[in-house]
Amino acid sequence: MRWIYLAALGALLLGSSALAQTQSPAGGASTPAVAATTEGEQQFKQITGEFETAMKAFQADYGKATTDDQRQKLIDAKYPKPETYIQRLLPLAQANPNTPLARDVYVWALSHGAGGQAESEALKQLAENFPTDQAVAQQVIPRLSWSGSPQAEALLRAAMEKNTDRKQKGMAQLTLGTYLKNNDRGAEAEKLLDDLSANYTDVKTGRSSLAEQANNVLFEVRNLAIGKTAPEITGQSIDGKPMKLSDFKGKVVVLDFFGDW
Amino acid sequence: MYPHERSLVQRMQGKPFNLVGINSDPKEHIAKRMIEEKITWPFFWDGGNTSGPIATKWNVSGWPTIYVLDSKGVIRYRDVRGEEMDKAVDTLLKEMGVAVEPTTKPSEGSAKSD
Repeated sequence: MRWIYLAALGALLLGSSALAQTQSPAGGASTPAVAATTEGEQQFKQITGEFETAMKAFQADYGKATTDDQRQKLIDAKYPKPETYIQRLLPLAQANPNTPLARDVYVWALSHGAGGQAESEALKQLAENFPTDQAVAQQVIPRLSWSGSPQAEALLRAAMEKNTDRKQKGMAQLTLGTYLKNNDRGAEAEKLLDDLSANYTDVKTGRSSLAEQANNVLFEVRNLAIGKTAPEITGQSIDGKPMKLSDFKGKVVVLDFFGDW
Repeated sequence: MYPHERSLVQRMQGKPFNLVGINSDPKEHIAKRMIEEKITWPFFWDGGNTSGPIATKWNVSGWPTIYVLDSKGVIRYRDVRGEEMDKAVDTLLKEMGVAVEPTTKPSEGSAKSD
């Protein structure tokens, strides 16, 4: 209600300045589409703001909890479930399709772990309308390498094919290659990764080039897939004694990359 | 995860099996955890952080990451946890003709019936 009131107030203020110029009655023939979007944007801010506030409150209490039991109770009682907020946000996108507001809703939903129907809808809409958008490139694309959803693959392909920005295009290609590797489609992955390895030595993200990152994934595809012989590991134990993986040959081995730093 | 690993290692005592870790913790931290969690199995210490040479070469981006290798060193399973890990290990040992006891723990006392 509060936001509808503010939107009306906004319309009134705009209307009064218009009145001075055109003498038309205040609040009369305004443009409903624009007003609706503005109202939607305010609702978006309101809902995501509520989520942030609830999350901060939860985190503050969680930090003070001293036992697992207290923590569990806090999670049950106070953890703001993103899906609740996502369900409130989706109608805003649906009422304003193919607008920056719809994009913001879908990006927010995906970067807060949307699943099921919400995830499919968000991926589909972004693939159709915003495949080259920067927010999508930064906040959505990198999260898709472990997805198993066909809509994720469609968005990655659209981003790779339509982007003219080389960095964004290359990152989409790297993510698609990783996605294919993770979905046991090594041969398709190799093609995309080989291309990056050859042509993206000059494009850096973080500390390494896209070509180097592609080489790491290629190493996985070629040497670490099921059915491949595990590459040798040489290193040392915690007390500095040399160790190698082949020391355990002839035995079944569970190789466990672990740590809780 | 440490409790499951401990029980797996214990169940596999005397069998051609090894749990081999690759650890990404700072040295003091893992030294402390070894005592607290009774980590008795061998592990590579990968330099104290997640971008150590082994994890980097194996392109590990999530922890834990699990590979299960057969006696020839061939990768046979990836990212199996809990019961799935037990089953994977049992299957590979059976392939070698090694008998394995079921994963269910014997009830206390009954083990000493004779």
